[in-house]
Amino acid sequence: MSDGKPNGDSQAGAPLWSLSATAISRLLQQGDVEPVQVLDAYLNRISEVDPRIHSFIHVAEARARASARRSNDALAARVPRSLLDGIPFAVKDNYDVAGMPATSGSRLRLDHIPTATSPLVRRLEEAGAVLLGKLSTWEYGTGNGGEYFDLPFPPARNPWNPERFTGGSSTGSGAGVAAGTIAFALGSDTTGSVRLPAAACGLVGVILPQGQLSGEGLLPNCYSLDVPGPLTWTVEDAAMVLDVLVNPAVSYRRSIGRPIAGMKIGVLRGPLGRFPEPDRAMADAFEQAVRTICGLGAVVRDACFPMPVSECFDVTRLIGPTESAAIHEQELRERPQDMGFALRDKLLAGSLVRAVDYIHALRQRRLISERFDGLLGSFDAIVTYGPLHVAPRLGIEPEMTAFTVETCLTPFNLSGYPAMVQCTGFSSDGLPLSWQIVAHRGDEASALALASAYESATSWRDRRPVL
Amino acid sequence: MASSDKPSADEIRRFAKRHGLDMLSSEHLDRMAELAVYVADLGRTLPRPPEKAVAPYERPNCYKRTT
Repeated sequence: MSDGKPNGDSQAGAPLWSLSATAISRLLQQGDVEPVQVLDAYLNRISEVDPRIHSFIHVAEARARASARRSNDALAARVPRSLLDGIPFAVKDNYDVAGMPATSGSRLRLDHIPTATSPLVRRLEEAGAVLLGKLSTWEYGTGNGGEYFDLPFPPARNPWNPERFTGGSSTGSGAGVAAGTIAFALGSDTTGSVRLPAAACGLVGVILPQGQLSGEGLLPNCYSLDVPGPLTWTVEDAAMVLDVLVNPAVSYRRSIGRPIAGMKIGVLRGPLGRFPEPDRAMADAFEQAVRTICGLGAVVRDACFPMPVSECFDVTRLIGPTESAAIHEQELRERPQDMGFALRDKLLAGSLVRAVDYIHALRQRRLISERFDGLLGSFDAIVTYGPLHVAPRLGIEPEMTAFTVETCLTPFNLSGYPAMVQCTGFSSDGLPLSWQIVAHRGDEASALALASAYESATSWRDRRPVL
Repeated sequence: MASSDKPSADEIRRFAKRHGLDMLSSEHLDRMAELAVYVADLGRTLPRPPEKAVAPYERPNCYKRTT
């Protein structure tokens, strides 16, 4: 295996795993490094640090090597299939890949080998990206915030501090991209499961409106709220991945570097309802980030959520468990003892929801969506908090639950707006801080442009976890 | 608004049986009884839309089959 150092001098001295996917792509396309070398760098990194952070459930080395050799051929012949050609990626273990175990982190599916591949994974592989394996997840891609150490795989740990939680449910996706065991990852988000781990691990996490990315081949958690989404190191990485995933094609990369002067940005700090105020470090970083985009020429104006954020969360507390109980009814009937506590608890709760209350929750969701339509009508994009807290201590259930529940993420699942989180700095003890950017449906490019401008104006991407 | 009463062990066992949840242990059933209170309170306290004409939200979901 190589030492993971690129041959070229454009990133002199930096190990490949520590570069953004965009930087690796540049090296690959210029011929400064070969896909097999890139793959080796990630395999070395996995060997070195994954026993401590548990980002991977399954490493598919032989398959990845074959894929990397195809990328070698394509790039050597100067016919790259896309900018992702030769870049290793991995997916949360609730994505199907033909012939590869898909446990969804559950004892219930330890023997499950899909016969078909998720269209999103297929698109990435057709674009030349190298699938390296499957990443840790909360059981069935869901949970209540707690960690009960009762699943067949060890919980992923936050690379910024392995005693801290990664955020769920795309736990391995967050841990892996931050630690550099993988260049980018796919997760899935029902009420925050892409954005929470992205925030806790200092990454970019993006969701698009429901229906824009295919969920086929993804183990459903909640039909009406689930959305797949990428977790990446930089905003441009996210744009590059979305350019391949979205069909019909959109060039999100064109939004990178776009000036934001004159963009009308709504700044939402509440009302949070019964949720507490954000951690001081999170709030301070948020205000500093607002000042930064002001300095770049954005026109910011304070605004309010159209209803308390905690009320939005309550709507998801009825919709999510009910749909999950319908989706996984057979498992609850036949194998409840094989489930972890968190999944079983959710399915039991969902089995108790009255149909009348579920319908009322869906009706509330319509009102929430309409009110956000009104709010967004005044702005090009809005910025608000993601999670209100920094990554909590792993296994301390009240802290973990508060981190998972007390967020400003669910309003955008309910209203179906594109939303992303990105790193806004670090707390005094080195934990990532974050904010959330939301744009109009069909105008995700504005969110990416704003995030890219902010990222370029700050130095947060210069720092990687020390493991 | 007062919280709902926790169902008795017998009530929750009969509920589970009616709904095909035959494999739940007594520990699971006890937890289900606790959850019954939480779920009932959640449903009862959820704000109701002001007009009957507010129909449930519907938008495309991600599970449209492409193959």
